[in-house]
Amino acid sequence: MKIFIVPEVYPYLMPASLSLRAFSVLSACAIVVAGALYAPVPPPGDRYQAWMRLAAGFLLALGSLTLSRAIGGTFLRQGGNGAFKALYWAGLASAGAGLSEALSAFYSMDVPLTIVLCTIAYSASGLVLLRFKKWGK
Amino acid sequence: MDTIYYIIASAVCAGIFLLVYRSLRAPFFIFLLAAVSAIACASAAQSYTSDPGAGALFDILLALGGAGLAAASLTLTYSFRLAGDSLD
Repeated sequence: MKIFIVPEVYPYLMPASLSLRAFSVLSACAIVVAGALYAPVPPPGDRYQAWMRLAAGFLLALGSLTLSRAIGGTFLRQGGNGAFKALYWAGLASAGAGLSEALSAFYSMDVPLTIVLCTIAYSASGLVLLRFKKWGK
Repeated sequence: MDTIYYIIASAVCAGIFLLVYRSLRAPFFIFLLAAVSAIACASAAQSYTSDPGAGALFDILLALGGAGLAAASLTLTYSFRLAGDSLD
């Protein structure tokens, strides 16, 4: 019966809590804004390089969003723990770096800064994962 | 001076994920290690020089990082599906 499918589908439709999702999206926006504010790198002169940047940024953003969606649908499905919440957050934050890389095809952006912020987010989530392995929390 | 900080941040990030893979040992984490290492290498390559060739390498490494993240997520979804915990 269809009603028995609902409890299966319901957590999938709400992969992570609203506050976690809001914090992650805000982090991604903050990374894009940081890239737009400080020491802008001029957009590329030729069209080929602009397309390369656009494609690379789009692929990075897509991969990051896919990662967050997969973590939300698997590890965080029944609530999850802090380690995978941190990985979910880092995944969505790196989508901001991908977005700024794609935007750098048209506008002046400090992409290296956004990538470093993304690596810092991944490092933080990696440390939480190591703590999870050690203490199981 | 920023270059040194960028390279240190990249090396620390790749090192942390190597430790994560060594302690958790799942296929998902090796894809994640590859993706994060590619992103970290991109960061180091871009900060080291402003040469256009380095810019192209940066784009390619970022694209590889994105592909690695997508591969990690597919592995994760597939392994949960194999374990009988299907998403749909």
